[in-house]
Amino acid sequence: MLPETFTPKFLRNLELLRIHTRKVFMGMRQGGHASIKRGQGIEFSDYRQYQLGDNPRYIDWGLYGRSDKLYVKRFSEEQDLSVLIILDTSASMTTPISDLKWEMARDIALSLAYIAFMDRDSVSVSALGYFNSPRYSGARAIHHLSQELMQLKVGGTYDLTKEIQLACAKVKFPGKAIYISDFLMPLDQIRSTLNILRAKNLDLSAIQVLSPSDINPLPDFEYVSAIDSETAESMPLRLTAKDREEYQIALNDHNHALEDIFASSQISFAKIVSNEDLSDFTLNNLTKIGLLR
Amino acid sequence: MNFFREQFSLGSPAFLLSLPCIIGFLIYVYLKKGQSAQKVVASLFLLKILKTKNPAKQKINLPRRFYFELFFFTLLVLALSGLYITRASEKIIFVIDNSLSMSTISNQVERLSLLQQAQTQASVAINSLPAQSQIEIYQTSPSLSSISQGFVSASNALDTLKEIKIAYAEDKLEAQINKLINSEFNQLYIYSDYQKEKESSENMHYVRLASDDLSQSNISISDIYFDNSSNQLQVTINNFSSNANQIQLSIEYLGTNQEKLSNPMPVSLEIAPQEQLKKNLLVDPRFQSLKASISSLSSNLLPLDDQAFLSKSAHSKKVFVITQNQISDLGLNRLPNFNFEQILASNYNDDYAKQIEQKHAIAIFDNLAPKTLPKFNALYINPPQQNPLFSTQAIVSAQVSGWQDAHPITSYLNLSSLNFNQLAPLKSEISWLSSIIETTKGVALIAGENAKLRVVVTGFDLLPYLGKESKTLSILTLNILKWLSSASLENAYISVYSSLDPSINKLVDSSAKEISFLKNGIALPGIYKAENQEIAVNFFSERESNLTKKKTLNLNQKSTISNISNKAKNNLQNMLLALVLLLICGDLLWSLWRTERRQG
Repeated sequence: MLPETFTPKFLRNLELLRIHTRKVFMGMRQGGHASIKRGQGIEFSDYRQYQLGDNPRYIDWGLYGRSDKLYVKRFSEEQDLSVLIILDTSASMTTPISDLKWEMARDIALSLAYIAFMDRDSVSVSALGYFNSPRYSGARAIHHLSQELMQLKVGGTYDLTKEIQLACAKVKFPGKAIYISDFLMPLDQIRSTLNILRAKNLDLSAIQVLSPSDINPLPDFEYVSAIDSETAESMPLRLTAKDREEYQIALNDHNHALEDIFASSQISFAKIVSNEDLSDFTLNNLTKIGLLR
Repeated sequence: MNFFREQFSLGSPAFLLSLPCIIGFLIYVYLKKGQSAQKVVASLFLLKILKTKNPAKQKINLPRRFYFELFFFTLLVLALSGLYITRASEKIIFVIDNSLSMSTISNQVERLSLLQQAQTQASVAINSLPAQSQIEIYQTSPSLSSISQGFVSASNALDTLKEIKIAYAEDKLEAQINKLINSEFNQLYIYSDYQKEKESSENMHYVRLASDDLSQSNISISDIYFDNSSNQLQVTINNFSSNANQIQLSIEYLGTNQEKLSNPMPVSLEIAPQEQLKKNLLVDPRFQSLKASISSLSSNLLPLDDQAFLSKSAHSKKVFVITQNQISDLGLNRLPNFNFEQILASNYNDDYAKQIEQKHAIAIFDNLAPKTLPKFNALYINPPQQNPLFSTQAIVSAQVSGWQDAHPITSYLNLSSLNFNQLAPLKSEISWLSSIIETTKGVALIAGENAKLRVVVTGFDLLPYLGKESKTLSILTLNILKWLSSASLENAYISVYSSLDPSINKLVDSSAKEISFLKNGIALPGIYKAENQEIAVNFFSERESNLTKKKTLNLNQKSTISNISNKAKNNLQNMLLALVLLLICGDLLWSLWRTERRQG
């Protein structure tokens, strides 16, 4: 059972997409992605000059006729892509519940999983702090995955480094990793998390999910005692209009820093607010950053 | 307090004490606001930056709403405190009827007199007036007088109110109020037991302090009289009631310069409804002064009129002799118990007449008669012919042919052998003069009494007084003088506030306390001792004693009043409450608009 946002039209649109990687990875079986293996796959890869011993069957005679030189065709072996979707399940993703931040992150994960399943890729999901799923593949796997994620009661706390390490330990075949989080944490922590993921030679993408409350916190309050949903730290605040402006600047600065970190690590990055349209984000924004094609 | 040239006052200033508490509570609430409202946020990660960037935010800074709510509560407190404007202070007059009838004990629970009730109600009225009011207190008796001596503050007026005491006097309330109406005031309050004919007007308030209960019965002594010749005391008692009453009449001998006399036993009497009873009692002739009092088992709401005083002055009776002769020539100096003073006939005038009247003396007109009958008892000896009062006939010699032997003048006399060599028989145009001694040639002596005025006229020369040498005429002279002086009420008592003999410089009451302001007369009934005499003082008034006879008050309306209504007092209160209501509505609408804007 998929969430309500997964309308038939949306699913049809998703079926037209495929997850794109910048790298070529070795898969377990034949799939739709180019593998690092060269062999007898059906996909033409490139040309090289004829060398003694090459199979004359692969000589491109058309090219010989045009160039008067002998070239042989090279073919890549197409295999499935391992997609690892890492979901931030911390309390910040469910605060406030009404903003549906976790639900947006979940739906993005399911959208990407569906695309992967339709493209005969395998998907494993790491709900940090809760479970690291086995590899799923096949079109029907989406329902099973959806059921697991929809039944999940998130909002706890965990050791991020440890959970990322656990998630990475499950990766047998490096492939695509998509980290979905609000990234409202110190930049150092983000860097160290990315380093762990990059060490696994994963093609990383990051999707930041924010809620309206993250952009404009506590709009109805001027004087408030704010409590951190994860650390339970309390802090008295006064939020005048000027204070809110400064918060916006701080948020923008943080997001720019995030973009810089991701850019410097060649990690594609997209951002969504939980009250925006999932379909539009998936079909447009994710294709723009090159995560989907 | 003055503000923008207006004078503001507070009706209930105690409410202002709540304002500092409200301000403190508001500040506390706003400081606590937010601290008590704890909200979970996704992350404090970015919010912490705010605190580190602006550490000065630790200071207390109250939001705009605080000042709005402070203004709101201030308006509410001012409205509850009864803020009002007083443009000018009102002048208010209180008239308290303190005549004798106001000493009536009320039929109500507290058993207060009507005057006490008037004082209580007037105090309540004064306390309810605006603080800036100027108040003048009048009492009606013995005459309308301002006891506050001008307009005073409420607190002074309340003190003055307590000083009003019952006066042994009647009130002339209607005339007094109608006179007072023309003076400057905004409001007039009258407290009396009159029945008012018209309803009170906007600025004249009449408060009636007597119930309509017709059983307001009262018994009073309305007169006291002592007949020297018969040693009989006559006490006149009135029963102003619709019921018969059993009363007891008691006599108490007073006086300091006499041997102790035994008081007679009280006499029980029954008096019919609305009856006036004249009771005669034999008293010890040696008494100097006495008090008669009545007591009743049944309702007697006005006790102050239940006693009467009487005194036979120890001082010898003053007799003015209007004559051209010397007192000694007339032999009058030989008469004991009389003090004769000559007034030359040629000097006698109205001033002398007034003097004689004031001194409560009697007079002997020796061979003359004034133009008009004086208001004092007098003996007219052989008035000349052609006098305006008594017509006389030609002088004849005559023999006594008859006399009224029951008359006090002829007491102890056998006049059958009396002959007159020169007699001018009398005739009088005055109807109440009757012949006492008649002769063969006409009336030799006439006498009579009208409204307690006694007159004796002789058609012959009664003087000179020869004593034993002319026993009959001497006794006759003594009888006449005795009759004239004993009948005079002025010898037995005087009324309250009546003028005293100017020769009296000092007077003490029964407790030896000296009485001041003698020129105003004596205010309280009783026996008073002067240098060489005792004076009895009484107050009798059917008008005050008859409680069943309702007095009606008919007042004129004040034509123009510079009236400051109490509306000015309330205006600010209503206006403030309306403003508070407006602020509440405005705040509600503002909140609604903000919510919709956020949702939009």
